[in-house]
Amino acid sequence: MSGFSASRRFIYMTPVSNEEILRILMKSRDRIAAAAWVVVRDAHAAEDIFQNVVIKGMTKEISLDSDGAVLSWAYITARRAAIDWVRRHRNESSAPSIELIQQLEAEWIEDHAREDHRTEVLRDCLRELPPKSSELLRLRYFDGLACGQVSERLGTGLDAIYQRLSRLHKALRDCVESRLAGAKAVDA
Amino acid sequence: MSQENRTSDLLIRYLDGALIGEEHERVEAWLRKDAEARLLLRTLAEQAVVAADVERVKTDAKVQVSSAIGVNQGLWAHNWHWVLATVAAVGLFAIVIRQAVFVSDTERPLMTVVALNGPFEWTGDAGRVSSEIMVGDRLPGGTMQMLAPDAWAEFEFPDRSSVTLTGLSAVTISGDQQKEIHLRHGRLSADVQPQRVGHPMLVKTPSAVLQVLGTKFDVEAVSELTRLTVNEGRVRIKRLVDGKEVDVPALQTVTATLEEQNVLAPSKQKAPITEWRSDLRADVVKGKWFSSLWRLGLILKKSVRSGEMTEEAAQEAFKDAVSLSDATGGVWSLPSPSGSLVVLSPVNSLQQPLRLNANTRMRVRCRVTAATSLRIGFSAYHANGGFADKYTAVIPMEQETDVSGDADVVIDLPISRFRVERDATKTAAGNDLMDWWCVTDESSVKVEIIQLEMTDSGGSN
Repeated sequence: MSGFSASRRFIYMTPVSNEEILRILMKSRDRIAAAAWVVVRDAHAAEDIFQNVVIKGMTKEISLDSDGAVLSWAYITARRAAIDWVRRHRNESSAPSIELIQQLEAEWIEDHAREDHRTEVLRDCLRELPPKSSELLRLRYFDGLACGQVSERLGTGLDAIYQRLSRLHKALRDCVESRLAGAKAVDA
Repeated sequence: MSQENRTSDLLIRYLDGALIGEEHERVEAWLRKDAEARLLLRTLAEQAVVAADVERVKTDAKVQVSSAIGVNQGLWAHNWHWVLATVAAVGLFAIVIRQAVFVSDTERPLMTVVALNGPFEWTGDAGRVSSEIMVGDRLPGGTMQMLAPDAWAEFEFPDRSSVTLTGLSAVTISGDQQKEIHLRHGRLSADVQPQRVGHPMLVKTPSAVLQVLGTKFDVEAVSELTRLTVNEGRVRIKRLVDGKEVDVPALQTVTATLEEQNVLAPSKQKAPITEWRSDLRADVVKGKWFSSLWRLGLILKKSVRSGEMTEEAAQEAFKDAVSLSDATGGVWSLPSPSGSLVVLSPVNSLQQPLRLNANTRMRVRCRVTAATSLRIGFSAYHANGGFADKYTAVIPMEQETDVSGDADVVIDLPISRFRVERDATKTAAGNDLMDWWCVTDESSVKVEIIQLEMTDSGGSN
């Protein structure tokens, strides 16, 4: 008779190596940071959260056995850190609901399979922006100013700031899509 | 404006925190249903972090701070070999640091973190303070301080004994020959496996020492008072002020204080009640109680200063009020790391458990000094003892126009409005309410709780 009861099954799986965990996390770096940013709305805090996720991923004692498990763990860890950050900085009322965050995370995890160099293209598009557009993005996302503060800083109406940001984000989307489409055409 | 631009404009306002109340809820509901809108939101978020990163690269380049290792954060995505080396080094460094902080060569792990929720500070034996521990970490002895009323942590020892620390609590845990827990203040629940003969688990509070051989119990330490409820087994409690000891059997409660030196006698738990009005002055755990008379004095002084009343008329009005009871008043919030906070504990004034059911409603009468969101919550314990969970409701008050600190606001909430963050389907019905809190969204905004009551609209009480 076996020493194990029927309800206790031990399943052994090959854990993902640290190097592989790092590769998976780095590939999803901007998406994990973006998931944290949706909660904290502070790019520096989001970056710190991502870096802590990487460090925890490299030092944790729990075994992860697939890309999906690594990503799922990473998004949950980033989410918890982001929610803690929000609690400490007291703007929880504007944070998204857990249900919405989980939907976004699931879609970001699906995006992981995408191999289209979108982020690199986006960086190129951002570097080529006119100075005024760069300044607007810097104030809003790097300096972390609310749109009202950006409006005061630039001496422009708040609605105009929203419209400029909206146009700017659309221009970046168009820039990325057209370059990716161009790259595909060249590859073909 | 095109539909895409309108959507983008709305999401930019949402991410700016400019949408509040119903408008915020509508956009949330729309986002949950519309995959295209979520895709746009994700794209905006990615653009935001990458834009900040591109700017960070420019700034770093200007100040030339990152040249020493040839890589900076903004270049991670482009320089894989450097990234690998750098992060591997960081990982190795982190392992060394974590080992140093949590488990030094001379320290055996004493316990494992099995649940962690909310802000906290962990101080290891070497005096290092960290908020970086996570579920699964094995820790040696040290001090855990929970920093918010909705925070809690559970530790498990190798013999599967466990302790759960909840709310604004602080505990020091050590264990060489026997487990020793110093509950400095706050509340903990324990499920203790049988301990070795002659080596009981010790729980020390500022006013009592508990000897535990194997049992389940809840203990609360508030300034000079220790309240013990035994759920299973038996616990011996020793009152420090006079050394009196008593064994507390299952389903009995005892309170030991430094002030009273009368009989130390356990009492049987009474039948639960489902309706309650807080005795604010007795129930306050965190906050400052002021009588209505004190408030009237302030208003009268203000009226005299502004010329609305003569000093004589004000004195006359005050004398008339003095003849009334001064038992009425309110509890003002005090600053805390989680915001401006009031914590009340019904067990301070109640002898019976306060049972929640599906018909329970929570009514709060309060004053707030400025329009901001309030978070109201409570700790729920299982009816047969032991911590169950923390439930919270967010009350957006930004749209309240009459929030000046003078006008009363009445908040009436069904129990179903209170949720557990991790599991929205979880209900508090069937559990006992152990403490209650209200915290403002902004530390600078104060709240005064004037009345708190729990009703049972099903009338089952």
